[in-house]
Amino acid sequence: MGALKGSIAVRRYAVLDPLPAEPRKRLLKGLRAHAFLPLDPKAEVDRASGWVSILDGDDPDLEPIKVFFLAPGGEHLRVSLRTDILRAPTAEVRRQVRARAQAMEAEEGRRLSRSEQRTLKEEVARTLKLRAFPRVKIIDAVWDLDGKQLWFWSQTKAANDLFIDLFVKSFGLRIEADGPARWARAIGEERALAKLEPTPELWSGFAGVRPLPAAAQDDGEAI
Amino acid sequence: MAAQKGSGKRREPTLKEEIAASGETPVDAAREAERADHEELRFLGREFLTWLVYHADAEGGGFAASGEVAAFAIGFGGRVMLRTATGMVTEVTLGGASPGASPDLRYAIAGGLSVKEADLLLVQDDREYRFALAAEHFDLKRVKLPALLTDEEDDPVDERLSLLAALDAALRLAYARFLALRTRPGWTRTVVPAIRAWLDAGT
Repeated sequence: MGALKGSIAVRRYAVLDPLPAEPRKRLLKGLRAHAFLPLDPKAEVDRASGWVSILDGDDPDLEPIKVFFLAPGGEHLRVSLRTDILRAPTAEVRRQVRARAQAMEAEEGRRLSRSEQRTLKEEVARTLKLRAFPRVKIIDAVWDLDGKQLWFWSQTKAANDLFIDLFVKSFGLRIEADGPARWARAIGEERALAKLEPTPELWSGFAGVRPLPAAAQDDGEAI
Repeated sequence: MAAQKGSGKRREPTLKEEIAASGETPVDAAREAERADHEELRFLGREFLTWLVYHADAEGGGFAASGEVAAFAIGFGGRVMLRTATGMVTEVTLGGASPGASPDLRYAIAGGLSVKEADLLLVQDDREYRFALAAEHFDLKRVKLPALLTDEEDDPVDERLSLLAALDAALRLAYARFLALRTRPGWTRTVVPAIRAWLDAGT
């Protein structure tokens, strides 16, 4: 999902900690330590995640020129988070297991035991996995290094959890998702904010304007 | 051990009675969810969007310039999603040419539904931004930026990101304006009654 082109759906994060000394060097080191590594189809692991160049999702070779960009507002670190998932297609595994199980049972004149069925399934899945193509997801991230703000081009929980985890592992810096609470703390006066409670009418309705559910009209306790 | 009828022995306490006697408070899931949602000022997201509906319809939706942010106006687009307080599952989506001005929307707000996501139109100078804004994290969705004015030597990517940053800055200013109202006594004395009057007139 695209910082550089395509549809825009972003979540913003604030970077809570200051940049390290020699930031370009340290940040690049962190990126390279967690650069994307392709999956080995023979391995047990069926998922891989890591950083790739925002200019080319197949390029995990992260050189400064592919990562640091001078933008009108200041310097950016731009990178993509790539996740590959390599699994044998479930329907095809099921079909082949069924066919081979039937053949084996006919040959041996008996039903396969549970453990034999399990072993058969694992073998079929392993074979099919060698011929499968990974599902690839690439999500862009843009870090305004001067403004201490991060933009991540996904709003799904799984993608954001992965992003936060990899960011912290790569750079050792804390980030927090933006939102009304964070913006309020950045803008508002602390004592005034501490006194805030939800506006009863906005959460339970405006009595007298229209009929309200019985619970909302009880003894003025709107929330 | 079953109680015996007529034996004079007391019956076994129920689980509810045991919890009450232990001093532990039974957890009401709806209440607990509500409390979590109201923690940390997150409720302000939905209050902001709900206030924005009123501000756009009744007051023109304008925001004065401040610092580097030029003046702009916010209007409502084709879709508004509202929800009741946490723990109560009622969600309403209103669509159409201008759901922001519809009696159905006012009726929903009057009944205690608050805006959780809305399609918005932000106009600043001669630029028009269309996007959806979600109350929880202020996520931006389905953003349509103004047409790029890039000269041949300019980087379109830089301009795209600059426009996004400008949109973000305008939204922060709008939220700051809301917060300034929200944290003053005038919110309860003036703004909420004005919202009530606006709802009354339109439902």
